[in-house]
Amino acid sequence: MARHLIAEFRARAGEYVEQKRFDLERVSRRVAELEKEYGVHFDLSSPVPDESIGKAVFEAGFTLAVEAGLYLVDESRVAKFREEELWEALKSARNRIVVGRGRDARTLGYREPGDRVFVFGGLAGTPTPLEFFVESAASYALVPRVDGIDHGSVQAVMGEMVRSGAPSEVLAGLREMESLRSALRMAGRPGMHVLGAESSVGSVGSLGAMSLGLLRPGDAQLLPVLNELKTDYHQLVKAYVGGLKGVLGAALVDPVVGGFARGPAGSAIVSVAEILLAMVAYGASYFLVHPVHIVKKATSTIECMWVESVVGLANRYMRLPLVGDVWPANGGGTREYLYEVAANTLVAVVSGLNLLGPVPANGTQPNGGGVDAMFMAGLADRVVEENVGFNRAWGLALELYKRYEARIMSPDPGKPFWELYDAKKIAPRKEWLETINETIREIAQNI
Amino acid sequence: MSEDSCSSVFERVGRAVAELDYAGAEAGVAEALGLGCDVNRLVEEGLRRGMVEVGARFERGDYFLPELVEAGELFNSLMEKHVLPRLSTRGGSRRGLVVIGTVRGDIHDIGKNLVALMLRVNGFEVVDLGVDVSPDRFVEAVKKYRPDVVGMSALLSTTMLEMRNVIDALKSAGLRDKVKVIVGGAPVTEEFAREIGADAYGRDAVDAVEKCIRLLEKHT
Repeated sequence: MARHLIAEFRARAGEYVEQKRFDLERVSRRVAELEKEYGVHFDLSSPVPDESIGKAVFEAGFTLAVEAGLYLVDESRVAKFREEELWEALKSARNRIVVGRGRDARTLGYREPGDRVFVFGGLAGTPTPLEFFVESAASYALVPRVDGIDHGSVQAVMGEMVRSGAPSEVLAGLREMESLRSALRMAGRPGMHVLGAESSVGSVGSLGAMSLGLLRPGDAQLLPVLNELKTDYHQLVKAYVGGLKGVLGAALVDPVVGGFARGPAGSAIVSVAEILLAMVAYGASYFLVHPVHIVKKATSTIECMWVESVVGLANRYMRLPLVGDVWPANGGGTREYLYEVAANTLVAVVSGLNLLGPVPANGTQPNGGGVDAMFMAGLADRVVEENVGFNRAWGLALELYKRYEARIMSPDPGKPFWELYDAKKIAPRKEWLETINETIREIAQNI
Repeated sequence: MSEDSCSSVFERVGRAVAELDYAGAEAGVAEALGLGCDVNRLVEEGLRRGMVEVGARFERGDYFLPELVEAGELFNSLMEKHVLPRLSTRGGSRRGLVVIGTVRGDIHDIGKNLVALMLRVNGFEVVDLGVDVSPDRFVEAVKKYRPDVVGMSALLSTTMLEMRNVIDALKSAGLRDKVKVIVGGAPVTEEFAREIGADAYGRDAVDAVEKCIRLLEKHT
């Protein structure tokens, strides 16, 4: 039986739990206990994790996944999975998958710190006007080092804002996918891996795109685990249909740091639990790790980088294709943005993560382009080639952090794609390119 | 009753609230009322001071959302059980009343809950309508509670359009000029707030509280 049906039937027969009780007792309280039981601790004054922490985080996350289960909000009931089922799913999970098609296919896999980094480029989930959608997407696809694309969200069609669950949301998903296909053809990479139909947060965009062949085998759709340890029928339906159609599932694991997942230590434990539950309930093929700080939001905060790093270390016991999201607070055109990208990249790469981003201004404005992903990928490659160690990378990241810390809470969103780029030529403007090159030289001196 | 003994009890109440010690806080409240201490001062110097400390601990990263929720419940429970019955006959000390909810089609509540809690921490009374709240329910709540402010939250760009529907519904019911409207949530922008005719946009929970305070200042 398909995993998604198992999850549905388990939940329907599962224990009824009021959502608030699930949040406070099954998640928060238990997470606090697990932090103590397994000795998982975050110290802001000394934030570099010990590499050995991965085992404890994995074990605590595994325990949480078994004990708490996955909460199905439509039923207010919990789908539980036995310990042996999770182990079996881990054993049978592919740790390397081929994504994309033809000569544009690439391998996305579990990586040791010295392995090549798979790089996703694009303004993932960011509202992007259709007028510049193709050009901005193409700016990423034209970067040879970008392996896959996750770009933009269409928020208005035919002059009207998109409405949840309505035909306009289906149309937004279709427009997004059509534009992405055009961009990939324009870049000469038609088979590039697409993580798409993100204009629809429910299920209708993905279902529409899959039914019309705009999301195809080799592509992926986003399957978020809802905060925390929850899902709904939209996600299960998408995952089920995707499974039937050969479209991969990319699970989004985005615990709120400071929320019901508690602080960074708890959020790392919750992340592992959510990865395991997404694997067993969604049949997800790869996993996006995206901690969101409840106040500061960006993945480049110390707390969120710590979570990404520690989840990467815990993955040594899961060996799954994990991707670290790089979502800075600042945006393209600012130097702080580049420092954030660099710090986040350093930490994620030495922790064994692949990369997705950078997505400027926390994904709120289309203020970036492909050259930003080139900057991120170039640094990732340098870290791998130079065999930069875990502590060294963290040390550099903390140095960089000093240069943008003050702008995390009052970020400069930067300039939109069409100001950073000559949109017709799909080429970055001289001023922005010079800033990037200066920052590369500045960082390279320290590696 | 001496000023000193009341101040000392208020301090203990504040500490107990900050430590999420319900029994300690309730004992302190009972003691203060038994001593005949001023109820408004008990709220300001005891309960609210404790909640302000809870908020500070949250901002420092010492407390997380569960502690904020717990503190909110503790505060509300003590207010309802011991304080409000007395305040109703002696004049309230609340800063204002806010009706808040996540709009129709959207079940995300973390941001909305955070704003509600921070409003309570800062002295507002809050009626939380929950998630997936239709325009009609907002209108009914405005008729029933006569709030100073209506707060709407949405996490999705596809549901934030409901905010316009709520404002239109308030207009149709002849209530728009009787209440201030503040909107917020991840996809919401200042520009969008202006476009739909809201009075304010809250970037985050702290900003939302500041904007509500300013709205009431303008209002009065």
